Amino acid sequence: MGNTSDGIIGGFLVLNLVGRPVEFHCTAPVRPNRAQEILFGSTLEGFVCGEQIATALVGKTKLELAAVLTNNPAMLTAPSSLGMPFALVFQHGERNESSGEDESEPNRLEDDVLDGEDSCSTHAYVAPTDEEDANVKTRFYQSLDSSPFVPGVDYRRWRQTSIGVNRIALPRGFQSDATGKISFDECVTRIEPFFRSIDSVEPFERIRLAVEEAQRVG
Amino acid sequence: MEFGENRVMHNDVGCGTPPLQIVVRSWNRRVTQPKTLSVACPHALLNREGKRLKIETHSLRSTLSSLAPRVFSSPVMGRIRSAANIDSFFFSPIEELLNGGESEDAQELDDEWKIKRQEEIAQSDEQKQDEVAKEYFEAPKDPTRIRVPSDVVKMEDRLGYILQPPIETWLGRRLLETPFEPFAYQKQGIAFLYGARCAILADEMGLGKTMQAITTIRLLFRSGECRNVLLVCPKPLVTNWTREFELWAPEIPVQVIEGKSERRKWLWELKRAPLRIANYELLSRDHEFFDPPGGAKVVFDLVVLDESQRIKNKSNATSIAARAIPRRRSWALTGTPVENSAEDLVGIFEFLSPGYLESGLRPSQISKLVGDHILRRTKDKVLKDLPPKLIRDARIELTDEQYETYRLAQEEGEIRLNAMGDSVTLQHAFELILRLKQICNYDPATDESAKLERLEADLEEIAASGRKAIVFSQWVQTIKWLSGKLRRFGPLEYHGQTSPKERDSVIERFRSDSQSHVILMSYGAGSVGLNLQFAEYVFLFDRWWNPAVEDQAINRAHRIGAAGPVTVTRFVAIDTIEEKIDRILTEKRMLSEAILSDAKGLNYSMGLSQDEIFGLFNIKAPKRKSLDKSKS
Repeated sequence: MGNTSDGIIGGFLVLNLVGRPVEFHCTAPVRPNRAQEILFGSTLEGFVCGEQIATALVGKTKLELAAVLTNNPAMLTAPSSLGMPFALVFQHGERNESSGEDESEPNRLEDDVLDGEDSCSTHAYVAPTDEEDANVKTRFYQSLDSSPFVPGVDYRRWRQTSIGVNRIALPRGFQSDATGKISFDECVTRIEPFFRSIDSVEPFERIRLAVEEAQRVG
Repeated sequence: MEFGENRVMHNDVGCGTPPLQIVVRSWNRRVTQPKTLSVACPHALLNREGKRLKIETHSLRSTLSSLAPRVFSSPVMGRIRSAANIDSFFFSPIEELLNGGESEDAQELDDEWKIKRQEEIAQSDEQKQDEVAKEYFEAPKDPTRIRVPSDVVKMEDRLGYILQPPIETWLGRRLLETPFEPFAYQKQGIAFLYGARCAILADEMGLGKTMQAITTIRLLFRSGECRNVLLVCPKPLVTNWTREFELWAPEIPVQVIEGKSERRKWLWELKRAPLRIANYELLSRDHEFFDPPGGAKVVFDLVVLDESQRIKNKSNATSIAARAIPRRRSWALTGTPVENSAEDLVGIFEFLSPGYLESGLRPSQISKLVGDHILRRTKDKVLKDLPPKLIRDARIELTDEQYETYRLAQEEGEIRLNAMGDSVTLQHAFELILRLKQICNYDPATDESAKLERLEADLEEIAASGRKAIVFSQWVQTIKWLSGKLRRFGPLEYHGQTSPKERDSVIERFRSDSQSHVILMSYGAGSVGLNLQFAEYVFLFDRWWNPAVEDQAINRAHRIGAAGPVTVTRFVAIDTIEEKIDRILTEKRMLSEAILSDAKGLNYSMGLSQDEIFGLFNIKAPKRKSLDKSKS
């Protein structure tokens, strides 16, 4: 949900493969204390979202999850001890609509430049300069609440691909005690059926509405 | 290897061989879009003359076993196997290769393939992306979300509605198959009904209330919120509803409650019947079956009343029986929630939510109370693309002999009414009105009819252009008389004396028989529920008492699916009682539009009041005859 005046609120909606709600949890506004602000510095948002909120919310469910989709890049700092990969989802449309000009992507490098993989549709992030960051934010992620370039997130560990109209960033490889090693392709395979039956960005709007309703009702 | 008359050759020319495109199509029920897998095959298939083969088969199993394993490389096999629900498929070389297949030189083919490959690579990324995207669900920019009913207060329940997927997701290709893409306003109707415990869907006739109700019922079944639904409609519409369910929800088994008493009792008490259809006429007779003294055996998750104006009178037996049906949710479907007065709404709400509305409330109070429970849209607001409805009043001058008969009947009738003094009743006035209206249709003494002359002239033109027309009258007698006069136009009759079994075949014949250019219908039998979009002309041979019923009749033709403009001709005999009634109804029609768009004026009667009826003859309404028995 991003920042409110009272802190950061997280919402977590568990869906089945056809998009029906199975579970919903949300947090009260989380506000880091002064000590945390000093200790975590620029990585504070990643700490609050990825470690505090994601851990609390995902830990609530007893269900076996295929993956966790998020629209907040700060969630990508979620610890692997949660046992499942996190994926960042956003739509092509956001990119094309927000920019009527050059659609080149200056802040990405082809995979093969980074690690020699041969892929024409798969890209990796590289940390941008401040100027590039502002530029990219405006052009690509206008509708997202947070900057995709969150300090503390190692974007070299993530690969981007297209599924339908959406682009998605997934871990290149995911290792956890519970699940063992999961490859990038396996991550895609896990979430790909979900994208066939529902729009993967839409449920975030449901979460937003539900959190608003919960706050309204108190 | 023989394959029909062609010999399949494995042209093993190495890794540069032209590929085959394997197209796999699936027509099973869950997946409506053909699924296409395009894969490069390492071998070419040639027939005896060296031409490329186009091989079609309808059995996945036999194809796989009849072809050499090496034709299908293992990754291909894997992909085909993964499509486990495929019913049939065929594969063929890509089109360009078929043309080039006349060459016997494999190298030439290889070159052609390489050129093609380069062309393919040159395709824009955007185009490729679009093709890929078609396989995935794409939500609209403005999704239709389930409406949270205002009477749901528990946060958990409210969140339950908010967190439901939008209607577009439900109607996505994998979740809920529909024969046609619903309009945006229909999706809003579904979103309105889905969460509603008590609701009136009051869309104007022809906007698809049936489809909206059926689709919402499907959603409720799919989500497990309903297991047991009862639909009640007028008897003539039962087959129509059955047909609509077959079209919009073929997976829901429909059980029509009919037959002898014992059978009906059994049908009412069935515990595992997802959807039952009953008619209003049965409700009061079967009261004891669905509401027995010892408690109901079946409690319906949802009861839907179609044409719910049938229960507007709280005290009639049908209304009492409908209210007694054990149920958890109640919906009413009607194009005319207010036919006569605000009391109609009170009657319907007595079924939806007993005690919610009381008689005697001010219109503004009613408006405020019912606002969240009624959804009404009109064609002019939501169906911008619907062909226009052209209404013309044909002012007919009666023939001299016909008018003479009319004049004598009127004078004689007025003298008789005046002579009755205060003992005159509405019944006496009605009798005279009916007699005069019948003479306006045709003179029984001379068989002359100015209206018929005009109708015949119009029908000549309609028949010559191969089109069809509906003629409405309130009398079966007039319909039968017209049928005899209009033989050359292949008339069909549909009225109260047409048996229920015949009715469907009459409609079907009118639809399909190119020699039948006109159907003669009574307002009572033909004004509701029928879909006659293929008729482009509607004639109101005589006028009904209530504009709402006339609108219902007109909308049999002017509804979704209408191919062209619908021309409505309303016959009015000038200098007769018809002209006077028409003037009053025109004023009331204008008021009724205001009533339905704004609750102010909800207490205004749309039928004829007692004063208005006696006023037709310049006779003062008698004292102490306060009961308004105006027809509605």
